[in-house]
Amino acid sequence: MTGSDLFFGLVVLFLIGAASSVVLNKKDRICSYISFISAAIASLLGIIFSFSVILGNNFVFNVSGTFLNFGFFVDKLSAFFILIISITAFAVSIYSTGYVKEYFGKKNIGYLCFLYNIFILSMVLVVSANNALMFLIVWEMMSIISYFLVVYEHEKPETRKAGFIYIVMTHIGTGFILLSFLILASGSASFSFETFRAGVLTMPPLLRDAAFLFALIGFGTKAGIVPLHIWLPYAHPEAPSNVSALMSGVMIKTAIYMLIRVSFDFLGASVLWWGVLLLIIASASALLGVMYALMEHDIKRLLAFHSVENIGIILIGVSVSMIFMSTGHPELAAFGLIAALYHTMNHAIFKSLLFMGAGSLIFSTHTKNIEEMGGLLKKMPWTGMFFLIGSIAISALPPLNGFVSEWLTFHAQLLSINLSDNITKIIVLSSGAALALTSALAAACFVKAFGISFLALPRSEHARNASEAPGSMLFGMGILSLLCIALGVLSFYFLPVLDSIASPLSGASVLPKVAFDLSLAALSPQAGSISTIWIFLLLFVFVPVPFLLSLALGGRTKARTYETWGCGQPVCTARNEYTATGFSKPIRMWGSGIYRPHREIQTSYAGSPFFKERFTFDTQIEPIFEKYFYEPITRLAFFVSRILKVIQTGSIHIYLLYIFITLVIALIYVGVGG
Amino acid sequence: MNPVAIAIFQMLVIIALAPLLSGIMKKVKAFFQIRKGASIFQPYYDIAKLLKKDSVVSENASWIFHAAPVISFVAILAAGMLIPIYISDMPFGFAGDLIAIVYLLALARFFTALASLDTGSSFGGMGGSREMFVASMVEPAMMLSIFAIALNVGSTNLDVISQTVSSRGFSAFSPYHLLAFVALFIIAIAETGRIPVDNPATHLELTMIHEAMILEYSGKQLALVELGAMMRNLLVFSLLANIFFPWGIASTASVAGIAAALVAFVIKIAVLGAAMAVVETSTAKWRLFRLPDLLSISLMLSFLALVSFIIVKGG
Amino acid sequence: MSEIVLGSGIMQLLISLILVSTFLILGSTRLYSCVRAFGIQSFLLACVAGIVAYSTGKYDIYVVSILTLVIKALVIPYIFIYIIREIKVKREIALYVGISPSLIIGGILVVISYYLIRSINLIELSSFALSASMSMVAIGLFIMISRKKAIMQMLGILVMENGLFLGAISLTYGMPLLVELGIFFDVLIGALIMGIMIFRINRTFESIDTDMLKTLIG
Repeated sequence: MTGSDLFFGLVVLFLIGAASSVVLNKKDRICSYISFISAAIASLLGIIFSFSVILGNNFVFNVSGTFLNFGFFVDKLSAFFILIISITAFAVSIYSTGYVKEYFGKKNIGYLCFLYNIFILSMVLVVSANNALMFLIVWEMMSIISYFLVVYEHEKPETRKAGFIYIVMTHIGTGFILLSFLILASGSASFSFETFRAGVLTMPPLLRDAAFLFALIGFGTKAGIVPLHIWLPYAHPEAPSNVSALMSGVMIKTAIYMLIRVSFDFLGASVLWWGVLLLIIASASALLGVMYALMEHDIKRLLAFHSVENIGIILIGVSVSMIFMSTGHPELAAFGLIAALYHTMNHAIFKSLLFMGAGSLIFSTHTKNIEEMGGLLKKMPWTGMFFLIGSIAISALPPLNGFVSEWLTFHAQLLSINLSDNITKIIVLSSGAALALTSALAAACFVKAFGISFLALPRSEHARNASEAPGSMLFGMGILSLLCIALGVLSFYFLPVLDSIASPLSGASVLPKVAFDLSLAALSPQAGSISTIWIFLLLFVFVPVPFLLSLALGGRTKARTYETWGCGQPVCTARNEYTATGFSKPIRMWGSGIYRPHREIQTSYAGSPFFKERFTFDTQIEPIFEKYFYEPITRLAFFVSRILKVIQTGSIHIYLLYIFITLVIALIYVGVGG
Repeated sequence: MNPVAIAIFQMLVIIALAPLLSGIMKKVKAFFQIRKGASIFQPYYDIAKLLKKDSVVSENASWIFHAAPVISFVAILAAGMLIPIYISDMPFGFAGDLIAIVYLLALARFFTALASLDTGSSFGGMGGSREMFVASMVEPAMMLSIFAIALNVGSTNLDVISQTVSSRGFSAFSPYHLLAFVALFIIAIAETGRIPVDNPATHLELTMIHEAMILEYSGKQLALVELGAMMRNLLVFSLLANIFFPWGIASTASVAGIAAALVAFVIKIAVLGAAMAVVETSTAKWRLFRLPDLLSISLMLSFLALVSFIIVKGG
Repeated sequence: MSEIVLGSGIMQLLISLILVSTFLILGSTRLYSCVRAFGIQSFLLACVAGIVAYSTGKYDIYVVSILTLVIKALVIPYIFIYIIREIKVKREIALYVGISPSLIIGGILVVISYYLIRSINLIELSSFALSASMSMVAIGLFIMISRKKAIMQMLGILVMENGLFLGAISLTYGMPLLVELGIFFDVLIGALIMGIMIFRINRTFESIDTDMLKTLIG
């Protein structure tokens, strides 16, 4: 099969999936199976297609019409993102066949399946578009369909609110993207991406800066960088979990793709301060993302905030690479870009895995609040296992994949010693401290998320009655868990792929300096190296040691099962357990400058003031971005609209008068000007 | 010598010396508190006794509780393979650098903290929460001091670091090296759970961190957890010793060299352990919420190390 | 010049230790340890002056060095400790800015100072010394802004003075002896006057918290 067969094959399969769900709208079961399986097959085609491009030649397809030229152009970078989309979509599609059973009979399944297929298709088209107009069309398609998916459970008021915030933010973002593209197009007199590259060369620096800034705001909104992230923790949790997995795992990556495309490919990453600005924003996103995640008890909101964090980590890699690029260090830039791309891949995989795990939890406990879960590891051993793997991966612990990409990012920061400007060096190296804090806090957060929801005793009736998720859901999660392990342990084998993607953008291939037999190195084995496969083997080989040691020195002993020690008191129920709120308390105290927590304690007495009958404790943190950034803007917008309301009289004559006046002014202007 | 033999020997040395370090520190502390104190071999007897005992397991516990001591032990041991103990050219030096060691120790901590939540005891949760909090505060300072060392030496791999530093001799005593050492020493206090961060000798619920996490363990599992904690201490100390004072370490695998290096190593960690014991006896335990201050002092020291290196060398 | 480069390893060490002692003042919450850190800082400064004197062979710098040792490292800390004892002030210093943020701001000030002096073309040691001295001035000012107790304001101004001294001694090998003596005299008298002021403040308000001065506006 050729590239175009594969590409159009996958497009057609997604369309078939979408069409069949419309046709079979009333038959929930068949409809869901057919459309999700066709999505899975299409994703498989996508995986093959992307590998054929990464290992072979670029795929180009152009249609020239009279009015509009549009086309697809899939180079290695696009193919890499198609690969990410396809892998995730494959696992999520299989998962979905089980997951949507919850909606059978309650909701319109055909509608969900239709949107699901089109959504994945639109993401594939976004990363393969070769023309600004076409890009904007598919981008908008992706945004609107994801909006419909977010408000799928539209009978809940909070879902409608989340959808509203999402659609507003995403359109503000699109507005800035449009501005950026208009600037880029003004230099090249065409909307084709190919001409953008040439056009930039003759563009005045100020316009280039503007194009970059607008692209940063526009795509940053979609990616969820601070302070444009506020839609993310609302929208992602409200969507059905399979869709949240795709949105958080993949959709926000399309923005990363475009940021790399615009800043490296079109603009050549030629200005130092772009990288420095992006680095500061990225570090802030990483840190604030994880700090807010720690305060969340809604498992999906928690994961959504972790997306903000991980986007930050990815962008740290991208920005360090931009700094290297602008100072003329193509090899170092390639290294930074490899770190960023690796983390993009990893985040897509473990975040989708975790969202699917969260979906399974919600599927069987019918609650999103981790304070009402607990003890689920015994009820749902496989879901627990997969969630644990995802947690280890996202906490960047060896030997899983998150560790490898964070290691690469740390070394990319460390390589900044080769820069000539000392202040930039200090900034880049200090961002290493931010990244370290981020990953340690992420580990704390996932101890909380996993520990509170899966361990100890069930904290509610829901959790007591939970049962394991169906096999299809487990299968979907299992694939991604295996990938988490494979991408970590066998990291060595993935580097050539990443290098071949990063080298055309940075202009240098670093493969021989990074991948040595079975180990990765920071451009030279002397400067620092890891070999995750060896770490894995060491861990594996040492497993018998503690057993042998205890057997040799202590002989055989017995283990007795008994109650947990409760200071001699006979009570040991779920009410005595440490809660998620309690677990994150030290960090809430430490970060009180940002969280601004306030609490309310209500006590009711049983007659005498000495006998307390009931306590209610409520603690909340203040969403500072909403309060101090968005609320003033909204107030301003309302204020301006109130003033402008004066001209909106509602009388048709007045409106005609406006048109007349405008016409007269226009004519005068033309008359004077001509 | 055969690299596999060196690796196995290194593993045995780590397991065998870990209780000794703990014993020495207890003895020095006892000396400063004008007590006689237990023999320096007492930790060996404790471990051996615990290994023979039956254990009681909470009925709420899942497999995490049983797996955590083993995983932590194994992760710490794997980290030990990446640290030069008596030979600078250790066989698995290429498999991980300082960053990998930090994250392997974090893996051990991750599972211990999970196990602390597993039994449903509120002590466990409290300990886990505090441990993760302190660990988060430690991490940025640790990374900056690693950066400072790596910039100074040009590598994050410990074999290269100890070789380079020992070949530099006394000229290795640059201000950045010294600042990074002080920063890492403060980090070592937190990382090994010593006063003023945590008190290893307490079972008072208001103050304990590590002890609270492992409160539900008993018998064999407790022995593994305790031994793991001792090994972690030893590794952190040998990091300090062999990054900053690697003199005496064997550069080639000869029996005489290794023997001399082992003696030097024992002396080095004994001195560092005594220094830590002095710090412990001369300070009071800090409130949990003042710990970020201590660790930001460490952060600033490593930041100064970085900045002064860049200003002096990079300009 | 060559002699200075000879001693530059020690100089680097001393200068970075001086910076560390500045951060110790910034990072401690006890009055005594702040004063002690100031004493150490002045002692290190005297060492710097001594090395400069030794390598340039100028005897007046020896005088400066000894004066620094006596006045700044011994007499002024003694005055401080005397004041603290006499007025029985609470040993904990009150802060407007917490310890951790203070330390981070201190770090940023160091970078900013370096950024400012970077444009001047200097040999590497001087650029380090100058940025250290600039950041000491900045941190001294910051200490004065962010601490409540009047003693800390005094300490802040002395840290600033030490910073200026470090800059002068390491760039130009000290100002003329007469000027230097004048400055020492100023500092000493300043410390004494401030001490008397603190006694008066304490007598008036039963506290040396400078927040109390707000009540004077009537």
